[in-house]
Amino acid sequence: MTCRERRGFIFVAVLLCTLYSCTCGVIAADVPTPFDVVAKQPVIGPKIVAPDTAPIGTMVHVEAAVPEDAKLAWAIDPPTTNFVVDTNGRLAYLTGPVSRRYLIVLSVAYGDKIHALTHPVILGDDPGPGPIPPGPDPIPPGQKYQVMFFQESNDLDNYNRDQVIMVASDKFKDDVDNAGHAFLRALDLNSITSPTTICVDDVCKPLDDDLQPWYRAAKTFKDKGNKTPFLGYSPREGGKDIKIIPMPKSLDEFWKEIGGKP
Amino acid sequence: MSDNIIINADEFSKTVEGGDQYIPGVIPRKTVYGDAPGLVPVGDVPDVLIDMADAKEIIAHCHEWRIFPMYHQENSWAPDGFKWNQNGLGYCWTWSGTGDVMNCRARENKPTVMLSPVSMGYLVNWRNNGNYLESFLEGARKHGIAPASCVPDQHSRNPRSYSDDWEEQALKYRIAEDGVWDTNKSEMLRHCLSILQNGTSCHIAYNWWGHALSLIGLIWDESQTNNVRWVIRNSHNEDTPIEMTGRRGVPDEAFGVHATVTT
Repeated sequence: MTCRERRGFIFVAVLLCTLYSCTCGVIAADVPTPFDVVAKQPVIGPKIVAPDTAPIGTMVHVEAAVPEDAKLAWAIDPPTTNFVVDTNGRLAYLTGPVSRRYLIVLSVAYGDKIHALTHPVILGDDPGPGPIPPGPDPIPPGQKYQVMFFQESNDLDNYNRDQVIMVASDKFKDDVDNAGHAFLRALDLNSITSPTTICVDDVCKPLDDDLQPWYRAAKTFKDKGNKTPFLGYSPREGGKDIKIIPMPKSLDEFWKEIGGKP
Repeated sequence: MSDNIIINADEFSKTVEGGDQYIPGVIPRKTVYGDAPGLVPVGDVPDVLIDMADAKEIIAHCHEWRIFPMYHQENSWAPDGFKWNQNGLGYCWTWSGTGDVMNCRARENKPTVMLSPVSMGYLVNWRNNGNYLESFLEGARKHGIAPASCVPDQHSRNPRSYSDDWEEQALKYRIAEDGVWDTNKSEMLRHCLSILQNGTSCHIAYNWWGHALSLIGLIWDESQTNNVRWVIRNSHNEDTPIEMTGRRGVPDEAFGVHATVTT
């Protein structure tokens, strides 16, 4: 092969490679790409990027494809503590232990525009059309639980003696723990409205508190018009929904609710 | 029968007033019941107030179920034999109040974190001075109490010896807004038992002693004035609670610390 022929061969090879890579690029746009790559795609209009269905046990990544300066507010219906928004607000994660239809709602504000976006996600087998059952995911019976009580100690008018035992007795705590459950806290719900940030020299940061999902669940329950005191419980192994109910009226009712009466 | 140190306040006070035992660690309150900023009168929570005719039965119930803060305290920061010592400082107002905050955290079932009473010394400009109980309560509500881990010497009034972040750490250990019940001197026993029966201890003061302490329980004893012995955690290096009896065993002031912030 002469030098001229060699140059011609190289030119053709380079051209073919260029055409091939462009073609590959077009194809790649239609193929699911790693999440961090999707996040870098140019944004044409605000939208929620998430699958429509996912098996139970997987973590569904939900992305807000929005302009960088947009302000976001997430919500999910029905409410679940298994829907978490990450710190920059652009990503959210949904998981869940049972089949359920969810509707993710995202309010997007940028410039002088406000968009309300929705995206349905079905976890597990489609439970079918119809109203979404209210309340948290059901908790299987016969479990050992984490237990937390929420009271309002300046509003004790409806507390009976057994209820005071539940929030103030050292023996009762031992009974709960000895039954295999875990007594977490007996808190004044009003104390949770105290600042949950530490501010030093105008720099504020959230307090470390891994019980925040419990507080949110209790507050949500109260915001629905329920009157304290409340009992919250969730499977001891963690990672499951927190069930909030009015505090049982008696110790017998309490033990009937969570099991393991001493 | 209790192993606690029993003190007849009527006899003891004769040796204290004007004597060597008088420690002016607490200044009598300036405010009055029902008109004290940041304090909730316990009488404003009607069903909290007990009927004194039921006092004997309520005290028995609170021992049976280990509701009194003496039990929460023993199971957390002050186990059997623990010594709580202000070490000669005129800081009883913060040793007692800090104990009440830790008692409250124990009742709430929060992790046991030893707090540093001396870190509240800023309330008296780090001088070795007495103080109002209300001053301590306001400081603990607004700024919190530093954990002992931030204070290498638990009796040092030099904040430069504390860790750099002691003020930031203290914010985690605050009394909640509206987290303190106030009591009325004229109904002191009824108000204190009403607070104690909810597992809450009382930050108390004896003006005749010039001393602040922490009320952590009551024992029914029909041989004593008012039929009770006042179970108290003192901070003079005792390894058990003390029990006060007699007419002067009734506190002059009492504040129930019943809620702390969520950390």
